[in-house]
Amino acid sequence: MAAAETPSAALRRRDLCSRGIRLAGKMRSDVADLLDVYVERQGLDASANVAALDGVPAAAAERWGEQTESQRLLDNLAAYRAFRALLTEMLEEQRDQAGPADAALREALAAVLLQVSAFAYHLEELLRLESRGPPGEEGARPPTGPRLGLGLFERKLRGLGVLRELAQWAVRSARDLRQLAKPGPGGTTAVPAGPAESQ
Amino acid sequence: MFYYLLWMLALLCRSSAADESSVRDADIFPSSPEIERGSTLKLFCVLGKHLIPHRNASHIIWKLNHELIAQENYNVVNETVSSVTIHNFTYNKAHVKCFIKYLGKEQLLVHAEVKSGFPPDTPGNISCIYYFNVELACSWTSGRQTNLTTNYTLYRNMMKDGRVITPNVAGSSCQSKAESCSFRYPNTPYSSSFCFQVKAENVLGEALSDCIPIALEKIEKFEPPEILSVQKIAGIKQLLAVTWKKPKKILPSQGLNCRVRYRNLYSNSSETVPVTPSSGEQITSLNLTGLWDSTEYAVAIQCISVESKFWSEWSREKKASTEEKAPSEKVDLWRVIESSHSAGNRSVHLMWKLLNHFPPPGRILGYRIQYFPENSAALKMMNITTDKKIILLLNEEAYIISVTAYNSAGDSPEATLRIPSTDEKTSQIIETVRTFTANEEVIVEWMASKSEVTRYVVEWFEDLETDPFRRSWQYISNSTNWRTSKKTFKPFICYNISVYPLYGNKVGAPYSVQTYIQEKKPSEGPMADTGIPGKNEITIKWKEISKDKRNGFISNYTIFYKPEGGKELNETVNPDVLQYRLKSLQANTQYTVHIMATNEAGGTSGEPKTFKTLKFNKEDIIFIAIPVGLSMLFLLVLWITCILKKRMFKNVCWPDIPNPAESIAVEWPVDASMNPFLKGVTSEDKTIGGLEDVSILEPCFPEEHENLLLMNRENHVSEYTDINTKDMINGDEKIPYSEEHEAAKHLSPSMPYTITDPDIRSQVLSTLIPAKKIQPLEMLEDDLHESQRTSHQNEENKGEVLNLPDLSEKAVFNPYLKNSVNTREFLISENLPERSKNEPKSQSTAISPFQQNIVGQSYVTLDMFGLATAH
Repeated sequence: MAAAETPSAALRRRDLCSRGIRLAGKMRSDVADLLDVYVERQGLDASANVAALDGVPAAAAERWGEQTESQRLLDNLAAYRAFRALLTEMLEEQRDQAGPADAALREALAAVLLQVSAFAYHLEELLRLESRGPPGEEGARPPTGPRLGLGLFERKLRGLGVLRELAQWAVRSARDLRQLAKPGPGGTTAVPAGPAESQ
Repeated sequence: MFYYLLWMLALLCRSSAADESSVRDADIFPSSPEIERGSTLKLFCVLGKHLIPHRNASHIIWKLNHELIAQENYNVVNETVSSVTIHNFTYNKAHVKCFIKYLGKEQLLVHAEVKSGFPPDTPGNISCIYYFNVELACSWTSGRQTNLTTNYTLYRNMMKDGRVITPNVAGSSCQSKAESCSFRYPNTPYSSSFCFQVKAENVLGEALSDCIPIALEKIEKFEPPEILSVQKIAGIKQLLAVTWKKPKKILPSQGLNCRVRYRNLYSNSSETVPVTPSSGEQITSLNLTGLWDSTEYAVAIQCISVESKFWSEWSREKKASTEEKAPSEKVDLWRVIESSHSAGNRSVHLMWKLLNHFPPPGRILGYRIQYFPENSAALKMMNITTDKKIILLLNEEAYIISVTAYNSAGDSPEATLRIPSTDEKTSQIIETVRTFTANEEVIVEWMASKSEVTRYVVEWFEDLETDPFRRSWQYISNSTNWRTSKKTFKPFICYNISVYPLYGNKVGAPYSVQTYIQEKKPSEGPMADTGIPGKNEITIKWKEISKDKRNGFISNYTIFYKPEGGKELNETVNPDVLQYRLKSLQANTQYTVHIMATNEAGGTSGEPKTFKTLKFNKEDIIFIAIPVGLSMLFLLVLWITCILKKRMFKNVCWPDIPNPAESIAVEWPVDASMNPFLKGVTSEDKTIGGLEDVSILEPCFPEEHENLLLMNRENHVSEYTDINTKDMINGDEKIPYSEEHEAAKHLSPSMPYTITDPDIRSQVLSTLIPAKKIQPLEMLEDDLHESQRTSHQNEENKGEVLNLPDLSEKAVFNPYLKNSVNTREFLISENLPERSKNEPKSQSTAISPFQQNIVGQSYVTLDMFGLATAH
């Protein structure tokens, strides 16, 4: 795929990849900060185990190395669209909370939501460059029914699980984008290693 | 139109509401309107209900600030509401006031502040800085001032497929009333897809800018890096190793550029070196080379993202010193030898400086001074100092002095100088020195008589400077001139410039000049001191201006002098003249004089002083005094002569010519009846035969001629009294003394008087006065002389007078009367015959009846006779 693109398209792709890596790195950093704030404000234990959550995309992939570039982008886009919905849901849940500390948490959540949205747009841009338009968002919305019946503590735990998974996705996204940025048979450029890779 | 209808509706509602509760005087609507500049303003004033029915809307008047608005702009809406319309309202801000006028008085009810302005322009020039994880700050320009309250909203949108998407997320916009706004952490997500848009709005409208895409990585600014160490590496000179850590809070996965600034603290110069740290390394190192030896440096670092256009701030400086090295150049050494202040000893002021050679010597730890007599090197002495000067106390011998600078790495080469012995004579090799300026340069030129001399020292110092260490010097080789910047010298200061020839290790005799690099007129003028003025001249003195106020070489003094109301004159003299004699001045005239000192740049006058010339000079006074003095002396001599030779002069000028025919002195007692006056007296004796008493007071006033007169008179009287002595004595016993004595006291308490009883007074008068009356007053003098002539005869008669024991007892006649001419007698004329009353006044014998204690009482004193006689 990369071998067939024009030099300008390759340059554009590389640029988008490098910015995407930067974005993923910043997102990971912000989510890490948000996790600290979230655990503190919600009165949770930072080491609490959260089981796999329904509707939350998992960052782990069994055959990550064998995935195609398009598949990586599509998986990423689907995941971030899901996180956008999940974070919006969390923000709605936080809206009832009052107090300046809660406002700071909401603000941080909103910033991460914006960051996730920006990354989703960024992935869509990359997909367009791959000559594959981004898929529609209809199928990306997480199921909402079961969570309505959750108690407050369960909602808090679920929020913790969402943020942890988002952090994992940030690392994975950086790796995916580095994979994308690797020069193909005709390519000559390299993208510097990001923090996600170093971890 | 709709606007006004809306207002009307609101007013009607308010009016109805006011019916119930409003107790205010009035309301104005709208209360703080903001309208477009040049549009029409309409305001309504609603009267409070309690003012009705005494006052209604027709009583309302309107004012714009302080000016009454014309009535035609008013409109009475109903009984309580009045409106005003102002067309083309162009005030930035104005107050429209609603007054009620009633019974000729105006009362302010309410007012509204009205602003006019413009709708906002579209904001432009949006720019932002992304302080990573701190804030995202944006600013813009708003165009024309609206003059109205304008609110701005900054939107942080996203660009997707070239379309602007406003995120449905709280916190994606911020509001401001100024031209900037910030999103603060944590609301600072990163995206390269953001675009920024500003909406400006006020009451007149709103304007929305385009959404300007700004990739945050391009405007990122982060904290400065942290310097971990700055240190020298042992054994490597002129090098410092710097290590620093990249900033933590930066956008991940991006390259950085840094630059290292190192500042030489010795020279205070700095340089910057760019560095590109490797992307994967958090810590970066750099070796700074080509530094000065033994020199301390301060190092700072700043970085920038490869994507961004904003550098971080500089990190905090960290200091370190380079390896040391022995100074490679000898010091620049000079001396000032003070004249010996004790026998055989003298002070030598040694001073030195470091030459500006490169590489610089680095840090100097100190200076080593060694000196020894030229003829005995074994007597070497040494001093160490960290200053660049020292005073050596040397004897009269010639000395060799050397100075070396040292640091931890070693010593510099020696700089040596020879101090000549005190009796050493050096020849004058420099023949002339001149200084001048050209093109911001000062040039010192000299001529030497020996061409083999190739090295010189130019020394200069301020003329008023007494500290030898404040002198400056410069070694010159292979040239007979020296050029330096004008800035080397201060303007308006007198400098001493000396040129010393150097031959071998000897310093020759200097040639010195004084110079000003730049002159200005003196800071003050000389103070004139006037001496004692003459009639037509005066000597003016003044003192030199102090050196610090001359500001240049004084070229001359000018004496300005001006008579009062006259024209100013002046005289110019050389600078070495400090007094001047002004001549040809007007006598008795006030002059004002002042002195002006002039140098090349101009003149300054001193305080004016006034003096007044004399009316006369000494000669005049001598010419006047001598004749006057001589005249006085002559008159004095004449007067003394007159006094001494009075009789002689009198005899010469007015010789006595006796008139025997008028003389009665001899005939009187013998043939008194022959004299018709005496006959009269005799005939009247009958009437004064009752002479009963005579009181005589103390005599005084001895005057010669009066004595003579009185003696003469006394002779007459005594002769006469001889005749009547018995009666008088008898009478004396009868008259109460106290009565007459009292009368005398009242008349004159101090003067002696002879007071007689009326009867005896008549008798006396009849005996005395006729004797006087027989001759006119001018003849009395003759009597005097005659009496003098007959003084010898009187001497004989005196015995008779003095031999009147009874009289002396009763003090009728004082025995000293002949010597006392001022005895006065009251001559009572109560019973005087008419004839005597009718005597001419010139005879001074006016006698009036005695009345005791009456002011103006007529009396005759013997003084008067005396005075008359004197005439």
